[in-house]
Amino acid sequence: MQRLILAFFAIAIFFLPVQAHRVNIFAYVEGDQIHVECGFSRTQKVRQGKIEVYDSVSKKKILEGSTDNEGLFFFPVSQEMKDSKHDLVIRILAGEGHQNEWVLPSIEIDSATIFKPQVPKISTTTLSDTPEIPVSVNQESVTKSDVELIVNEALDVKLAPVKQMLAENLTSDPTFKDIVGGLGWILGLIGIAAYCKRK
Amino acid sequence: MHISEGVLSPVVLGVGAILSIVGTAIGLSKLDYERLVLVALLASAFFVASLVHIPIGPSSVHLLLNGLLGLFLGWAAFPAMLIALLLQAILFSYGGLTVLGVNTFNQAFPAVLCGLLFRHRLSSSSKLFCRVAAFLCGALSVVGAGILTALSLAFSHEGFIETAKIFLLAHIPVMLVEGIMTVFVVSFVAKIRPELLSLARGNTCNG
Repeated sequence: MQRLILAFFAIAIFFLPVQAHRVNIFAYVEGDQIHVECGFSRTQKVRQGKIEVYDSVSKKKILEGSTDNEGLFFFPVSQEMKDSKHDLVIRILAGEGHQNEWVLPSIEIDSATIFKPQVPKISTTTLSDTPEIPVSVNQESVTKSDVELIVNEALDVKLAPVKQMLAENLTSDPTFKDIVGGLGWILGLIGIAAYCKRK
Repeated sequence: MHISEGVLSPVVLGVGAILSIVGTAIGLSKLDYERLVLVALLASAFFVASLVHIPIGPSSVHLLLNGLLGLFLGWAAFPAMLIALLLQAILFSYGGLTVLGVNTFNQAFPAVLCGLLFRHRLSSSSKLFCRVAAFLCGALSVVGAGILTALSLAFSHEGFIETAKIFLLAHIPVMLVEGIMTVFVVSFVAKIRPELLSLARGNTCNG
């Protein structure tokens, strides 16, 4: 029996690193689009998986589509989505009973920039050599909403790597510790059963 | 072959839970407590096997080893798989707690059936016959699990025939791998612990 147990653990170690078998979904707003990432693990993406987007309050299906070969799906934020102030439920159907969903809060949808800002151009003409030619400066006024749009765009760029790290953490595979923990639970439960039977 | 939470209808979940409770009760009543180490070993093998998966199209399939459990444990495969699936649901979020009954029945029942069918063939004097029996037990257990999973989905909302076709096609590589693995394990056990094969023939597990 000891050889059998050793053989089992030798084979079990061969199966590491292991891969996940649940479908993960992560969605976030970037610019005027909602990015959806789906995968079974960091390397195993959901190809051509069905995506459904629902209003969390009315439960009405807003749109549907499918992921590309990288497990990605994008759709634009509409003014209706922003005005409704409802969360969006984004569901992935990866087939064979694999399903998961992500709730995108309305506060994040509200931060989407639907219109690209007209960045004001500040230009100056250079001084000429002859003092008779006047120097003029053209300047357009910058509104508060323009500043908000510019800041949002800059934040999207800065936060993109952070969102990527979050997505990777959510699709993390079971670790060696998790597997050993599970095996420990099984052996422990069987041990308790044996002890109770002996009593 | 783990069905996720929120996919199946409440009726299917209820029926699956009841059938699993019945199967587990039978398994516990027939369990030989002298062979608990073997049960633990095979439950652990089942637990780890589900972590090995093969990408197929948008989804992926994983090893089951349910045929092996059915062959060596008989009805005790029910409680063994229940524990392993429960831990997978809690630790890895594979499947879920509400679908635990359905997932357990779908994987354990075909295993028990195939074990009952092929276990006694292992006593054949022909090595080839033994290997074919072991291969068929491993492969057909996967077929059975696929059919039951497709039925579970069909009774919820997906069309059965289409789902069953997709399942069985996607699991052909798994059937072959499982069949071959069962043959190797039975051959290995026959060399180092042949008395376990008499266990598999039902002499000790009462299965």
